[in-house]
Amino acid sequence: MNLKPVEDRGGTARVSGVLLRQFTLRHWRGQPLRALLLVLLLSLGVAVFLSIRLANRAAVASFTNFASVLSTQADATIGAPAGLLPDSVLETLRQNMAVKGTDISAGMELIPIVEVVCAPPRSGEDGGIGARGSFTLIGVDLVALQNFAADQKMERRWFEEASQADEQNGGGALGRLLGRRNAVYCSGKLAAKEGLRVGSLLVLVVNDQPVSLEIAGIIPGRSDQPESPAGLLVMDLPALQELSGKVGLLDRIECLFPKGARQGASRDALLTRLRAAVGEAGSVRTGESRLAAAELMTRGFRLNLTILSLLALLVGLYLIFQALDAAVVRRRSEIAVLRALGVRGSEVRRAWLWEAALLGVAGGAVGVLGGWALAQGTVRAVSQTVNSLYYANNTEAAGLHPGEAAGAFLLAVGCSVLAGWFPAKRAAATPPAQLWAQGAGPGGAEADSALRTWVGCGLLFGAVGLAFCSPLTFSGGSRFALGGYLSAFFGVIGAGILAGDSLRLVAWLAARFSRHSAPRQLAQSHLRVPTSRHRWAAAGLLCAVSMTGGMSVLVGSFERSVSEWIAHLLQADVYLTSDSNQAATAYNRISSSSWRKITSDPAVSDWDAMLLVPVEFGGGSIRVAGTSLDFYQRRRQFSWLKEPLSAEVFDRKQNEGRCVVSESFAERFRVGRGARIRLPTPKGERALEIEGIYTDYGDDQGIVMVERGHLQEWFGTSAVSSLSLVLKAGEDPEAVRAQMRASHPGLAVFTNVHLRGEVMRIFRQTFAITYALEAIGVAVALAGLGITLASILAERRAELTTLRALGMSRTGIAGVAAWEGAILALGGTAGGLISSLGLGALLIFVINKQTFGWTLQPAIPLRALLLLGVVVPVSGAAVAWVVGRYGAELPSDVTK
Amino acid sequence: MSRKYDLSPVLRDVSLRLFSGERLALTGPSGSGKTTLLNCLGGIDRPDSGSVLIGGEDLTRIDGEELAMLRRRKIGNVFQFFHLLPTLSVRENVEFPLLLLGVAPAQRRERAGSLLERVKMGHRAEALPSRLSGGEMQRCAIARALVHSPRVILADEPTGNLDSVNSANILELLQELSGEMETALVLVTHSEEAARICQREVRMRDGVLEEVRG
Ligand SMILES: Nc1ncnc2c1ncn2[C@@H]1O[C@H](COP(=O)(O)OP(=O)(O)OP(=O)(O)O)[C@@H](O)[C@H]1O
Ligand SMILES: [Mg+2]
Repeated sequence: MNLKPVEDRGGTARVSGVLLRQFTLRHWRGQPLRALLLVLLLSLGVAVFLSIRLANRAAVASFTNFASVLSTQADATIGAPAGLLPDSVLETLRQNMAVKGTDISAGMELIPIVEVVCAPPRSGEDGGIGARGSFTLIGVDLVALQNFAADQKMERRWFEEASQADEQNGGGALGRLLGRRNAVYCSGKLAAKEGLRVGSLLVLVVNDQPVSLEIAGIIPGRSDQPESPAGLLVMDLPALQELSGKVGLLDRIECLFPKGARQGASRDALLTRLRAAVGEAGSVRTGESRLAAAELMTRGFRLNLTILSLLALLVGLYLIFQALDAAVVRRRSEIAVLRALGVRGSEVRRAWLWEAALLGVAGGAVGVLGGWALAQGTVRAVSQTVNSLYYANNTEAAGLHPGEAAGAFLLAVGCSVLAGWFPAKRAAATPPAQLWAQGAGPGGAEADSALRTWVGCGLLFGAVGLAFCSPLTFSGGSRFALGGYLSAFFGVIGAGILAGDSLRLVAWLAARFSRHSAPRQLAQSHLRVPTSRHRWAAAGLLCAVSMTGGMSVLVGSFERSVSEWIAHLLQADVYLTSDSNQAATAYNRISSSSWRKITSDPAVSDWDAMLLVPVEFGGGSIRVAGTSLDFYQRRRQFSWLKEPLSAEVFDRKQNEGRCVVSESFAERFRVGRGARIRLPTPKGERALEIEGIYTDYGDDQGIVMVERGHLQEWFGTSAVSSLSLVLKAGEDPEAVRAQMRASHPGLAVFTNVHLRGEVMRIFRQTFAITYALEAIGVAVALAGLGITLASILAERRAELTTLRALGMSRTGIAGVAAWEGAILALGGTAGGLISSLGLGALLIFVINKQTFGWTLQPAIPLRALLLLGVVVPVSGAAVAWVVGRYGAELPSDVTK
Repeated sequence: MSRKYDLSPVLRDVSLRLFSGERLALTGPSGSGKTTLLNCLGGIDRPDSGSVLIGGEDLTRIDGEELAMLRRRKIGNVFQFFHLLPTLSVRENVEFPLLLLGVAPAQRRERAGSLLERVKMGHRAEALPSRLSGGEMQRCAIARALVHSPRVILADEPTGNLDSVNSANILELLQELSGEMETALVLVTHSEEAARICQREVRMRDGVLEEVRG
C-alpha cells in the first residue's frame, strides 16, 4: 500500500458548498414532504403580506386625475377650498398667465374639469350599499383639448380615431360627443366588461335622476401608459355641467406645464405665479400632493392591514426558527462527526445559513407568485372598504409591482437567514464530544431559562411603557400609532418567550388527569422540561391566538359601540339619498323640488334634511354637514362625548357661528369644546365656535355639523344630500318605501331596519380581511405544531421503536402524540387568550383611538374566545394524532 | 493531563509521549477512560488541565477553528462507534477528508478506491452506511481515517467487529502505513494479536496509565 501525503488545498467556501450538496440537500431530499410543507408555510406568510401590499397599492393608484388619462400627470390642480370653482377663475387665469411667446407660461395648458361620481340604477331589490360599484363621469372641454392635442402632438389618437370613424359611419366619435347632449367616451376595459359598443346606451343615476348616456367612442389605450381606470367616462364639459346642475361651475382645473417648465426652478416659479393668479378663489395643489392626499387619507387603514398581514409572516418566521432548530438537534451527531473530521465551526455555520437562505429563496419565490394570485381576491375587499370609507374607486386587478415583489422576496430570505442564525451558531459552537453526549440524551432542553424569563418579562414591561406613547403625526392631521404597534409587537414576542413556561404548568395540570395512563405519563414526561422545539411551537400558537383573540375583542367592542350608536342615531322611519351615493366621495344631491315633494307627503309627520359638502381644512379634507340641529336634539339622536353647555346651538335663530364636531375631528385637529375654527366657504371664511363633540363611527376624517339653512346659504344651493322621515302613527314604513321607490327611481330608500343592517354590514366588511388574515395565521401556527411534533417524534424514533417492541399499537402511539400535542396547544392557547385581552385593550384604547379617533366601549366576545380556546387545542391534538399515527410507521418498519 | 466528567475524574494526570512512526497499544478494562484519552489526543475533547502537543503545537491553547484545521490535516480517527455520515455512500465517506483538503476529484477517486480495495470494501463502495454490517462499517471507517495520510492515527478498537482474517488484514495495513509514512498510531484494543503489532503497550486503569511493555 503506497499512499503519498496530500497537501491542504482547501477553501472554506468550497467546504460549505460540499456540506450543502452532500448533507443539507440530501436531508431535504430524504424528507421532501417536510421540506415542501415548510416552504409552503413560509410562502403563505409572504403571500399574505404581499397581497395586502399589492391590493393597497392598487387602491391608491386608482385615485388618478384626468390628465394621466391623456398621457401625463397634471403638474398642478386648482380646486376651491370649499364648494366649486366659478367658471370665471379660468378666464382670470388665462388672462393672467399671458400667452406671450417668451413667457415661461407659454404653452401651459389648463384643463377645466367637472367630476361626478355616480352609479348605475338599482335593478329590483339588489345588494347593499357599495355593491354596484361607482363610475366617475368627467367633463372636459373637448374642443379645447383637440386644439391642444394638435399643438402638442400629445394624444392625437383620441381624435384621429374619431376622424377615421367619421369617414366610416358619417358621424365620428367627436362629432357625436359634441353634437349630442349625453354622449360619453368610455374606457376599453369598461366596454369589454359590459359589452358596450359605439352607440350603446349606459344608464347612470346623476343626482336624483337616472340618465341614459350614449357611448360615442372608446378612450384609446396607450401601450406605454397604464390603462385608464375602468370606471372612467369622459363627457363634454358643458353637457356634464348641465346634467349635474353645475352650470358655470368647475370641480377643478388641471394644469399641464410647458415642457421646459415641468421641473426645477421654472416649475416653482410657475406654481408661484399660478397661486398669485388664483388668489383667494382656489387652492393650488401639485400633482404629487394630490396623490399624496389620497395616500394620506387611507394611510392609517392601509398601515393597519399591512401590519396585520405581517402576522402570518411572523408565525411563518416562528416556524422557520423552529424547523432549523429542530434540524440542528436532529443532525447533532452528524455535525459532531463532521467537526471531528476537521470541518470548522465557521464552515458548519455557513452551510446552515445557506440552508436557511435556500429555504427563504424557495419560500419567497412561491410566496411572491401566491401573493400576486391572492391579491386578486384581497384587492376587491380592500377597494370596497376604501370605497365606502374614503373615495370612489373601481379597482379590479392588482398588478405585480416589481418593487413590492422584490421587497417581499428579500423579506422572506432575510427572515429566513435571521432564523437560521441562532441554530447555526449553536451547531457550530459546541465541541464535538459534547454534541455526541447530547445527541444520545433527550436533547434540546436548555439551561438558560432564567435569562429567558427575564427577557420575556422585560419585553412585556417595555410593551406596557410603549402603550402610553403619543402617536406620530403627519402633515394634514393623519396619525400613526407607532408606540401602540411596537407595544403589540413587544408584547406578543415577550409572551411568546414565556409561552414555554406555561407548558410546564399545563403539563402539571394535565398530570392530574392521567395518573393511570402510561402513554399520557410518557407524553408529559417530555413536556416537564420543554425542548426548544416545544417552546417555538407554543410561541407560534400563542402569537396567532393572541392576535386573533385581540382582533375579536376589538371587533366585538366595535359591534357593541356601533350598534348602540345606531340605535341612538337612527330614530326616523325612512331614509332617502341619491342612489348614486355608493362611495364616500359621491356627492349626488336631491334637488329642492324633489325633497320638498317628498317631505310634504301626507304620511310624513316630521322630517330632517342633511346637506353634506367636502371642505379643505387644516391641510386635509373634512366634511361639513348641514342639518336641522333642533330636529337632532328633539329626537335625541346625538351620542354626546361633550354635550353643549347651552341650548342655543339648537335654535335656528341663534346658532349662526356655532357648530358641533365629530370625535375624529376633535382628535385629528386637537380641538375641544369652546374652541373656534375658521371654515372656508364659497362666501368666504366663517368663524365657528365648537359647542359640543359627538360620536360618529361612520367617519374617520372629521365632520363639522352646522344648521342646514346656513350651510345652504354659504354654498348657494337648495339641494340636500339625504332625508330622514318620521312617519305618522300607523303608517307602514315598508309601504312608504315601496311607494317612494316607485315614484323616485333615482333615489335609494331605506327603512330604519334596512339601514341599520346596512351600516352593520359595512362595518363587518371593513373587518373581513383582517379576520381572514387572522385565520391564516392560526392555520399556519397549527401546521407548525404538526411539523414540530413530526420532528420531535422523529428524534424519539428509538423510544417509539421500543414502545412498539413492548407491544404498543400504532393508535396507542398516536394517542401519546395527541396528548402531547393537546398539551402543547393548550399551553399556547391559554397564554394566547390571556395576552389577547391585553392586546384587545391596546387595540381599543391606543391603536384605534390614535388611528381613527373613536372611543369604543370595550366588550369581550366570550363566544369567539371560547371557540378559539376549544378549536385550537382540539385541532392541535388532531394534527398530533395524525402525525403520531403515521410518524410511528417508520420505527415499526425498522423493528420488522 | 486530567479530565473529569461530572466531578468524577476519568483521566488522572495521564502523561504520554509518542514518536512519529511509533505504534502504541492502549489496553484496559471497559469504562477505564481509553476513549476519553483518545478524544483528548485528537482534539475532539479538551482536558481540564494539562496540555496536548503535536509537533510542538499545543492543542489546548488554540481555538476551535484552528483545532478543526489540525484535525483535518494531521489526524485520522477511527471511532469506536464508526460514526459514518449517513447521507454519504461508502465511497463518499472515504473521500470526504480529501474533499475537505481540496484534493482534485480524480486523485480523490483513485486514493479512496485503492484504500477500499485494500480493506476489501470495493464491492460495497456505492452502498449507504445504513445498509452495512457492523464489520463493513468498521472497515469503511478505517479507510476514511487513513485516506489523507494523517500524521497521527487514533484507532479505537478498529478490529472489534471483525473476523480473524479481516482483522489480520487491517492490522497489516496499519503496520504498513505507520512504517512507510512515519505515522504515529495509537491502537485501543482488547486483543493480544492487535497489541502484538505495536512496539509498545500501555494499560489504562482507573484513569492512570501504566507501562506494560516496550
Ligand atoms: N460525556 C460523558 N459524560 C459523563 N461521563 C462520561 C462521558 N463519556 C464517558 N464518560 C464516563 O467516563 C468513563 C470512561 O469512559 P470511556 O468511554 O473513556 O471508557 P472506555 O475505556 O473507552 O470504555 P470501553 O472499553 O467500554 O469503550 C466511563 O465511566 C464513562 O461512564
Ligand atoms: Mg471506548
